[in-house]
Amino acid sequence: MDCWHFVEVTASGQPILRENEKDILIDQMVGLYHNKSKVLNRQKGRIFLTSQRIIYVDDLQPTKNSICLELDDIESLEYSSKFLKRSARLILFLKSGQTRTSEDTNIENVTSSWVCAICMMTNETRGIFSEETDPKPICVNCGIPADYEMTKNSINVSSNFKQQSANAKKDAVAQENACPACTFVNHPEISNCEICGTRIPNASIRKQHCNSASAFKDSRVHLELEHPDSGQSTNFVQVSFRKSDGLLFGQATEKAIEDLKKAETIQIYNKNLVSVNGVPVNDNEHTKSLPFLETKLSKIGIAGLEDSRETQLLRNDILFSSALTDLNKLMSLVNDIETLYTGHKVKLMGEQAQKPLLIIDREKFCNKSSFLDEIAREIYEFAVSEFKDNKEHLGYGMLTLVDLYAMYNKSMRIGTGLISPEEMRQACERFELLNLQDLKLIRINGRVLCLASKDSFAFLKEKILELTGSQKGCDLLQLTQLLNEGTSSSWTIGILTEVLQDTVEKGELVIDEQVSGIFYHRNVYWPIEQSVK
Amino acid sequence: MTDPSTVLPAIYSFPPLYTRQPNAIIRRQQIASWIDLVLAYCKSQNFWCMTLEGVPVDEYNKSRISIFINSEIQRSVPQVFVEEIWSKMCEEGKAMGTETGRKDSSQYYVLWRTLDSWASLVLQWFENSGKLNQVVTIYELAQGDETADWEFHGMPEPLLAHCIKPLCQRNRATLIKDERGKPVATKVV
Repeated sequence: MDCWHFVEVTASGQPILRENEKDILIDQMVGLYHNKSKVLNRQKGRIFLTSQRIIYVDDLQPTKNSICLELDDIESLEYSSKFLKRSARLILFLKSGQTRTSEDTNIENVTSSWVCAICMMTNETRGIFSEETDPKPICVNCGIPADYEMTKNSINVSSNFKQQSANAKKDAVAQENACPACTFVNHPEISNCEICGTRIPNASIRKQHCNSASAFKDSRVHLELEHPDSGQSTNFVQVSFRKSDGLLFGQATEKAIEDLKKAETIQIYNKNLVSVNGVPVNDNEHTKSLPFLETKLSKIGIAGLEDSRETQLLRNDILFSSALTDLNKLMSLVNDIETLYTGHKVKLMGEQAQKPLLIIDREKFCNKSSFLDEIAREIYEFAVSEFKDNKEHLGYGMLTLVDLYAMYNKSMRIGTGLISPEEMRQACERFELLNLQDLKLIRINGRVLCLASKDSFAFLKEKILELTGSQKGCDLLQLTQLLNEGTSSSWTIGILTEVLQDTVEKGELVIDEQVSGIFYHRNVYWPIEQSVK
Repeated sequence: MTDPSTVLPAIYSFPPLYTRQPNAIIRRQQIASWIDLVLAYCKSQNFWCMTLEGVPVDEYNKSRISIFINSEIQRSVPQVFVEEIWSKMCEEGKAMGTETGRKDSSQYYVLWRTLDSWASLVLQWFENSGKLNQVVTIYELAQGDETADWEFHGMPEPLLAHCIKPLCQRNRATLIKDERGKPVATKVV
C-alpha cells in the first residue's frame, strides 16, 4: 500500500505536474486494483501517464481521491486483454520493498571514499572500491570515471557500522556526525560541515537511516480494499480499462519505464556526442525506437481490420508528434543559445518559474468527446485563473466567449493545435456534466454567449446602476475605468456593452447621445411600467 | 426674453431627455414628458403658437430660443424627434397645425386646453357677460377689454375661430364670414 502517493489535483480535475514532468497519455474510465482486490472509491476515473508517474484522477472526488504511482517503483508490467466480462487490464509489478532494503543494507554498511585524481573532489561510493569494481565509480564533480591505480592511495573504506546492531547504529550515527576536518558535531542530516564546508563521510547513508527511521506516511491517502485480507506476499497493482482496450496505454507505460531505466544508466560524460573523428558513437541514441504499436492484434474479421487501422493512425500521429518534438527541441536549443548570446538571463529565469502545464494534444484522444472533456477542463482552469483577480476583490467574473476564445487559443493552444469556436462552445457546454460548478455559460440579450460565475450578471448590473446614479451620467469608457479601478481590466468593454444594452432594454438606464459617445443615466423620471402586456 | 430652463421643471435639465430613447416604453413616457413641458411653457408664457423648431411665435417678433434647445446643458433635440413629438401632440389634440391641411405644418398652435374646453370657456364668457344673441367680432373676443381677465384673451383669431366651431356644431353659435371666407364675427345663442 506504500506505493500509492497522494497527488494534488486542480479543481477542474487535472493533476498538477512536477517540474520537468511531461504527460504522455490519458485514458478514460479506469478502475484500480491492489493485488487482486478492488480499491474502493477508485473505480471510475481517468488515468494519466506522465514521464514520471501514473496518476489516477477520480471522477467523483478529484481533489480527494486522486493518487499516483511512481514509475520508479514499477518492476515490470503485463497486459491482459479483454475476455468476456473481464475488462482489459494492465498489471504493474512493483519492486518489492523487502528485497530492496535487504540489498541496500548489505551494500550500505560499506562505503568507500576516494579522491578524484583530476579535480581532487572527495567522492563517496557504496560498496568497496577495488580493482575489480565495474563499472568504475564516476566523480560527481567532473564526471570522469575513477582510475583505480591513480586513486588507490586515497581510498578509505568505512565499514564500522557493520558490526553494530541496527538500533545502536542509528543512535551512533545521530550522535557522531562530527566533521573530520574541524571536529564540529553537525546535525545528522547535514552532508557538508556547517563550519568549514568539508564533505562529511557517509552522509548519504545517514540520510537514508533518518528517512527510514521516520517512515513518512502521507495522511491524505486513504485506501480501502474490497478484500483487505488478501495476500500481501505478491505485490502488484492492476489498472482495469472499462471502456477502451488499454493496449496503447500499456505499451506507452512500458516505453516510459524503459526510458526511465535508460535515463538512469546513461553516462554523464560525452552525452550528446555524435561522432569522434568521423566515427559515429552512441549509435543507440539515434536508433531509439519510437513508441511502438502492435498492428497484429488478436482479433480477426472487420473488427480486427478496424482496430489495426486505428492503431496505424495512432502510430502515424505519434510519429508526427515525435518529429515535432524533435523540431521543438532544436528550436529550444536555438533559443537557449540566443539567450546565452544576448545575456538576457533574467528572462530565462522568469520562464523557468512557470509551472509545467499539461499539454492536451488532440492526437492523444481516440474520440472527440473525450477530447472535448479534457479541453473543457482546461478552459475551465484557464478561465478560473483569469477570474482570480476579480474573485479576490468581488467574487464575480464574467467574460464573453469570443474574448475567452481568443485568449485561450493564444495562450494555451499555440503549438498544440488551435481549437475551433465550435469546439470551444461545446466544451463550455460540458461544464455542468463534468461537475465544474463555478462557471456557467449564459446568453445575454439573446445573442452573446458569456462565461460567468454565478449571479455575476446581476452583480454587475447593480454596480453599473449604482455608478450611473452617483456619477450623473457615465459613458462606456468612464464606466470601464471606474469598474476596473485597482484591478487590471477584469471587466471587458464587451461585457459592459452587453450589460448596458440589457439595462436600456429593461428601462433601468436611459441614454444621452452625444458626438463624443453615449452617456448612460439612471432612469429617474420615467417609471418602468410593470404590466406592459 | 425668457429662457425656458428658468421656468421649466428639473426634468428639462436631464440630458437623456434630448435623445430619442431606444426602449419603446420609455420613449412613450419621454414624449409625454415633452408634451407636458411644451404645454407648461406655453401656458406660463402665454404663447399660442410655435414654429416647427419649437420657437414661440408672437406678434412682436422678438428673437426667442427654441424650447428644444437647452443651452445650459448644451443639448438639443434632433429634428426628426421634434417632428415625432409634434405629430404625437396633434394626435392627442394638444397641438394643431396653423394651415388647414394638418400635416407638415411649419407652425403649430399649442392647446394647453382642448378645443372643446376652450369652446365651453368661450360660451361661459358669453353667458356671464350677457352677450348672448349679439354679434361679437372675433377681434373683440381676442383683444377686447371685456375678455382681459379670461384665459383666452390674446388668442390668435384663426385659433379662436377654431374654438368656436364645436359650438357651431352644437348649434349654439354661428360664424359670420367676410367676403374671402375668413370668420370675422360670431353670434352665440
